[in-house]
Amino acid sequence: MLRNIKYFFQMLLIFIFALTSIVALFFLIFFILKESFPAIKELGKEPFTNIYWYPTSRKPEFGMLAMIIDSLLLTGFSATFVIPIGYFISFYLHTYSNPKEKKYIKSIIEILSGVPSVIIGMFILIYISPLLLKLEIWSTENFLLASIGLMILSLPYTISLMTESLDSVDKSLEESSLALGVNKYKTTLKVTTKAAISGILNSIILTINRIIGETMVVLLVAGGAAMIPSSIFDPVKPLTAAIASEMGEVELGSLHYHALFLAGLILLFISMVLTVLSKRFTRRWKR
Amino acid sequence: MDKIIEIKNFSAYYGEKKVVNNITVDIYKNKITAIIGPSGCGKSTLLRSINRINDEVLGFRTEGNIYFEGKDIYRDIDDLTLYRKKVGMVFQKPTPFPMSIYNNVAFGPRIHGIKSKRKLDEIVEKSLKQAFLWDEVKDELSKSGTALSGGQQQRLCIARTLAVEPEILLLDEPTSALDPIATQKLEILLEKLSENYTILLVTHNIGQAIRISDYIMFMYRGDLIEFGETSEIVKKPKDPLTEQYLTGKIG
Repeated sequence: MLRNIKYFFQMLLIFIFALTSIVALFFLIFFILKESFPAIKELGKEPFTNIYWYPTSRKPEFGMLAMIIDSLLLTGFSATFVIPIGYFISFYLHTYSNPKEKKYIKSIIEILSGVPSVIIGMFILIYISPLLLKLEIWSTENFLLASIGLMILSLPYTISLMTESLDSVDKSLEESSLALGVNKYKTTLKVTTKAAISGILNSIILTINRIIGETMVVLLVAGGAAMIPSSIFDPVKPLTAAIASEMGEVELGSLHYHALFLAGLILLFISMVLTVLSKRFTRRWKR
Repeated sequence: MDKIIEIKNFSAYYGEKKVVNNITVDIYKNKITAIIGPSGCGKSTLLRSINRINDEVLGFRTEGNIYFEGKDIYRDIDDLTLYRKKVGMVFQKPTPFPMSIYNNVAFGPRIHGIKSKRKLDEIVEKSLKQAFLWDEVKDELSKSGTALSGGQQQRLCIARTLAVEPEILLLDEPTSALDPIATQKLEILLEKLSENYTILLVTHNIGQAIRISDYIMFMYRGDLIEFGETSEIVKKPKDPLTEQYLTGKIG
């Protein structure tokens, strides 16, 4: 009897906590949809066709295309570097490093991943940005610096995820390969990586998701100009930076306000698509 | 009778813990030698020392010598991958690679430099036939190796090992994860293979050791208690421990 009551309360507690998070997510989506709806109604497809973002000018324009492209370019560019580098490092950690070395490197990576992004932004602004000036590149906040920040920020995350996927592969599978006279390098490259492919694809998607949602670094060092860059030294303004920099000053209930929510909706949509993709991969490659 | 492996005063440690204690024994060519003994008696460690797969385990070290065709494998081997190729190994749990049946078998030969498609086809067919798997999979070679049944997977692993033309097969409880019918098939396969290969089999299954092995090594707490022809050992074990183990009094 007592056990039943205890069991009931345990279940109730779990149910309430689970429900809370689901309800929170539901409200989040509902809230963003509701707040961005006037912008969708008013602007139609202008945000996706127009590249000019002048929300506060006398004749306001609400084109988000440049910012969407900025977000995607920044993410693509950073990910192109972070993913291979992350893979190589986890490859090394998994294949060659001895446990002691691995422990040290891992703890350093953990510390790095705990560094607040605003610190990374500041570091770039104060120490790396002046280097560009020395090289006679006259932009102190630009696409390249933002990418560097995003890379520093996401690399530890990628490494931990990828190392974890490689480490989770059954030891005897690797030993089977070694026993065939295959060396460690080819074993990790051809057997372990293949066996861990769902985890690795998942890490890639989570990394991309993390980069695209990052705000602080891009706010500080991207330059804040909503334009399509023609070189990596041009300033850019991704969606997240727009929301963060403008939300504080926007007139409540104005079209600008609703347009910022639309930007949030776009980000949410991209992130959800990536999450669904990652789930898909995990299931497809599970075996 | 030809010896292919000579083990001389061989001991193995994990850190400070000695798990194989001063073993001296010979393995004969083209025979099945079964290593039996209770859990933790060091039989797997001994087996895993023979192809040096335990080198990867942290804190593992050895004393004494193991000779393969007269060469000390812990001292005179220059190219470990080349040596491991000669000593095939099959594990307790089937370990098919996450790729097609064909690629599973062709994996080893490809790594060792065989590129010709025709040659690979030949090797794949021959190895799968040797492992008694060809008839069951010949029409679906592109199917994933992991989609096969447990017994088929284990035979695929044997085929994969045979594809690199080893001289010895080390098997670490290869049937412990299989059902009785798959086990029986595998036992028949091993007997057949012993015509051309030397087989060293670690098993928990006394019946299996008696059924298929020519020689038995009985190990207990790291020591080699008894070694001899299977028929002799079964008929009259010299050591009381062996008798107790065979009759199920210890284990």
